[in-house]
Amino acid sequence: MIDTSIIRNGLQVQKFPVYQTDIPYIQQIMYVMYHSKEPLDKFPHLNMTIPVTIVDKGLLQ
Amino acid sequence: MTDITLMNATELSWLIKSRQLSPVELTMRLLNCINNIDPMLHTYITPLPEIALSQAREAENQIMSGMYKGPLHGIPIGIKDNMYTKGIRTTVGSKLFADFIPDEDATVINRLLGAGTIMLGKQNMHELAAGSTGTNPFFGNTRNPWNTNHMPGGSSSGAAASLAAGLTPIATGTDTFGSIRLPAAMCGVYGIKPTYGLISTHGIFPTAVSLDTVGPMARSVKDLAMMLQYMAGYDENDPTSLQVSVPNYYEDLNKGISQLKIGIPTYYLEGLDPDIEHLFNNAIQSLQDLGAEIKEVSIPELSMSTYSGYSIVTGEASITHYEWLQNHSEKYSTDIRSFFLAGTLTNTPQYLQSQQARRKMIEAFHKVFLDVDIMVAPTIPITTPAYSKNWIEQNLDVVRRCIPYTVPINLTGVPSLAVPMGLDQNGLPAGMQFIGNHLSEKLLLQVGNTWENIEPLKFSLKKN
Repeated sequence: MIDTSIIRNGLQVQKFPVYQTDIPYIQQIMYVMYHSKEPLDKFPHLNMTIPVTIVDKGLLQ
Repeated sequence: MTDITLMNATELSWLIKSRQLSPVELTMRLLNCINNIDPMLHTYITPLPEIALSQAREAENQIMSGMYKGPLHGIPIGIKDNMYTKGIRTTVGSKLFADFIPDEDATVINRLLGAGTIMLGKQNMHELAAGSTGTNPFFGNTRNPWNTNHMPGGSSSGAAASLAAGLTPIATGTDTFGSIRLPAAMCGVYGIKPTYGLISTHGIFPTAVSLDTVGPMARSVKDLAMMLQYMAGYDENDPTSLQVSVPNYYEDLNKGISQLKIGIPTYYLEGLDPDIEHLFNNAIQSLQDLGAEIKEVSIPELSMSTYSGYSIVTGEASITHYEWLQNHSEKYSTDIRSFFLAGTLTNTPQYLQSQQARRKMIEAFHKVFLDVDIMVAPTIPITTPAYSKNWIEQNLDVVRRCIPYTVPINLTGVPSLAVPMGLDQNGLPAGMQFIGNHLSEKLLLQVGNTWENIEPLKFSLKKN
């Protein structure tokens, strides 16, 4: 689990009000995210893949 | 004769065209049902009886004077409340936008109203289209008509529940990580999440812009085809809109599925509730009986979808809501605020890595579709839960359980048709999804129509 102080500091530095009741839920969501990262290790060249990003074609004309 | 409130739109359309049914009479019947039943179900946030009756009268006059516009003319529709409607409040299911009145219609609303539909009202949804159960602490929890103690699924909760209850014949939905397919599964109705960019998202309040998709919901596949025909197409106001020709979705719907090659991704067979597994196995047998060739397919890249989905959804949503979260955080419910705030704690490498994983998944899907025509999988791994008193925890838990099954479709941008596959032991619907390659909606609708003909809700695990 991610340390709650990291969550608090991360929110405060971005000027978000910190609700004590939110912290366990944020912690839980971040745990799911970090836990689900493990399968990425099975794709060693992922970092060389071009990311899918939104490009507004109208701007490129 | 079947109750008109439970008839499919294609049946109603025929009756209206042949002047056997008055759009005004139909609209009044539905408004009456909404008035009587909806206080229990909370499928509408803003019913629009005056506007609906005015539109119905106009449609009736046009049809009677020979100005028939087509199959949606005179058909009532429910509109998800994250779609902008000019001069009509659009709450996005949130306290934050309780008084927001857009000054233009979303492109898709323009198209549907232009086709002659009658707007019954703005429908309830999971707050900000960012949850999967259908709870809404501000406008009331939508309830599942099959059992009102149970959730209808979300975020297009009002659409799915109102279809199941006969409170509208057709409805609109949006799907960012399952919001059309998941409530369709839980309420036993049909919905299609089309190819990303096929339907304009101009005038749709964003959840996660690189995943957001608009789609039709209905009680039959034919109705979906009819709606998609009008909803699909290029929109210069939407930078993500695809410039492709729109095929005739309605023709060849009865083509059948003989010799169709259907893949089952093994990824989708893990972690299923026993009832879902049982019903899905039944469904596979039925598809084989209908002549399809079934084979399992392995797509290891899908193992990255939960990480990628969470990072992109929370990250993109947090950017949309950044200033509101700083200045009006009390207007969010705890689950949604926590979900979005988690996104503010992710970083750029994480986001880009997720978008890299996304490309890998798209490439993997393209490879699989060289070998099979479509894929089939359970829509979600769980049976429809009853609402819990610990709703915040339950909301986050349902997202955690279901996102691995729904978000791969959004990440890869492919279409997916959600259909019912039977009733679980509690007598509640369960669903599966037919997944196709990009722009294969026509094929999916053909498959779905064949499937619908076997009346899938007759499969029941309920013990008498």
